[in-house]
Amino acid sequence: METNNEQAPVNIHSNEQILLSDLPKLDHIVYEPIQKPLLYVNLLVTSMVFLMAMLGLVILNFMVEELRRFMWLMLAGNIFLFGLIAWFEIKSFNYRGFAIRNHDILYKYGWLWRSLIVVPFNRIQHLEINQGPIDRMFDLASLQLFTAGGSSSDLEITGLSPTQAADIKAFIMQKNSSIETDESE
Amino acid sequence: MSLNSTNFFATPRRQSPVAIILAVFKTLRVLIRQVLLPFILFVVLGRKGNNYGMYFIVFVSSISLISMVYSIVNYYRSYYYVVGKELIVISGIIGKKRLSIPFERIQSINFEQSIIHRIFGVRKFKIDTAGSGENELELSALEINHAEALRQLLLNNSLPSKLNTSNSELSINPSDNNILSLDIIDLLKAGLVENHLRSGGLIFVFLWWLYANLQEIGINAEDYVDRMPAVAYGAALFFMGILLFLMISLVISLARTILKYYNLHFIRTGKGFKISQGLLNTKVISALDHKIQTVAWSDNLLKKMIGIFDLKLKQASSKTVENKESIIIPGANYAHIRQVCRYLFPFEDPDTVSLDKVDPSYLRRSIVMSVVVFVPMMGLAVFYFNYASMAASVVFLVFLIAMSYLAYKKLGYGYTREILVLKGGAFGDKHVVTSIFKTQSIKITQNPFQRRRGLVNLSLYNASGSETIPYIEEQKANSMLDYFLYLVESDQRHWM
Repeated sequence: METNNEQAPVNIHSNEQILLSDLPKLDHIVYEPIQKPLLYVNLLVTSMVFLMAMLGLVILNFMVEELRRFMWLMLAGNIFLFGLIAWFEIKSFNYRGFAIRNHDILYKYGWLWRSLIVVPFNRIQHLEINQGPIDRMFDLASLQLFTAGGSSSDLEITGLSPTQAADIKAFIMQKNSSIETDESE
Repeated sequence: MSLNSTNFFATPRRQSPVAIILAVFKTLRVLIRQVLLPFILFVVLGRKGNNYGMYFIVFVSSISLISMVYSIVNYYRSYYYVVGKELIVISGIIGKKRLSIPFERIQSINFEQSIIHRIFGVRKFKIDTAGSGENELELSALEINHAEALRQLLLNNSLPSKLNTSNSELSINPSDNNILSLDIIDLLKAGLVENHLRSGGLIFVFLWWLYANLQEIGINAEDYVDRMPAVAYGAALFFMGILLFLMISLVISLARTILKYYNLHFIRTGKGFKISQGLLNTKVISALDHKIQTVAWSDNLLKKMIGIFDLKLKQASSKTVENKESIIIPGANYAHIRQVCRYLFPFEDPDTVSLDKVDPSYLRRSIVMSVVVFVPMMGLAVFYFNYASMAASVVFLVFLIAMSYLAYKKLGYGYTREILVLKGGAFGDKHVVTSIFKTQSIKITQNPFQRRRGLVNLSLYNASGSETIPYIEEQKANSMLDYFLYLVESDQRHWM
């Protein structure tokens, strides 16, 4: 294959003009939400942590007498913090979403600090579906896409249903395998 | 049996026994670095000290001993051989690990020779392959003729278009297609204008470490300082100290530059570049055009004055973002850089790409950050009513603001359908030219402050790292992302 290392633009022979205004637009994308149970799982884990913290506080207050008059203040603070984090979790859950196009996959996440990451299918090297014990309980799975760009550019979509994850994986494999065989000849 | 026949490598072979010496030497070096100095300090100076130091030394020594024994046993259990069109390496003491590398996946074959290699006439044999996971194979010592024969065998049986077919001798012939060679004068020049603050930082860390160790042993350095007779001496000592500090960092910079880049030749091969360098450790790195993701060059104030740059060709590597996979050339001038760019981007001229500026709030934010650093410093200085510290804080603030301003002034970005060009730097200059179609993924991030102004950061990740354009308008970033995605997705060329 002599085209491998060709440094010229590819379509030097069929060089029809492409109007920038005709390119697919990021602004028109409708993002699909992720599965609601993920929010429940996250909230559950957070509330467990805070319940433990509450329990710890109560025990501490019984043991150390000087702290006892601050007990209500500490508990209130704890509950306030929990509320704040839960609120963040709900907000960021609502913001999260993914979209699959013909040639790439998009994933947006975060809430105060927002990120959008786009991975073209023809750069994906490896795909993985992960399902931990908690995921299994709530019928969830996550899909991980690996590129050669290093861990900070890899993409992991959490909170998919197992069938969703498998479907996306199959779709990408079908899209990418054609390119793959092209290259490995 | 002839070395050149395939049969020679068909039977499993061990590496040269020099591999054991290398392994032992490596362990010893770690041991010395970690243990010997504390040990000397401990024995010579330590009377008041407790026993923890001793325990630590015993612990580290026994671990080193175990690892030494491990590597010796491992040597006797490791073999390499060739079956069909695959190179197979077996190793492991408890479980057997079998690594097979199909010839067609080999991206590059490199040799390396340290001083020990040279004494025993062996070479380190390195193979880099494509794909994710474990991508590198290293045979730490092969006899030179075995290394050559194996390389020839791999070359003859793999795709000629993919591999660098030119001779990977340890000394390259600079007459063919030489781009630049550095003689000792060039190296002295490059060493003199190195960033001395960095070498100075190394010394500082070492002194601090020494100080901390002395403290631990029970020598209070401050006791001695207190006994210094007068302030006049103090001032004299201070300036002598600075002078000494500068001189030592100069010497270290020079020594490092010369050791690392001695006899440097940078040449153009058929479809790539090749560099050989090093006084004690001779190294040949080759980089094929399609593996190079980014070209970057930078200078500092001193380098700017004599018109030289550090040139860096960043290669795709299995272990991402590692410097050792990059070709770094100190003391390249602008003509050399233009030549390299012409080879890599024949249809583009990075100089003529028009650059856009980022939003002014980028400057505003770095000034705010400078003030955030300044306020507590000033607060402390006022609290202790120390005029010197107050003055120092103000100077520091002015410095930070000047740096922010320069950084904002110099920051610029632009692109064509092939390349993304970034300019930056504060006191020095930084230039980055990266192939857009080699991008692996694109990210847009936005913090709460940026959201109010409708700004975002745009990052392009490729197989050798990432480049970020900060503080650009959201609409603009979105359309750039659309365009870059189109370029990446419609391109069939090899990105690695």
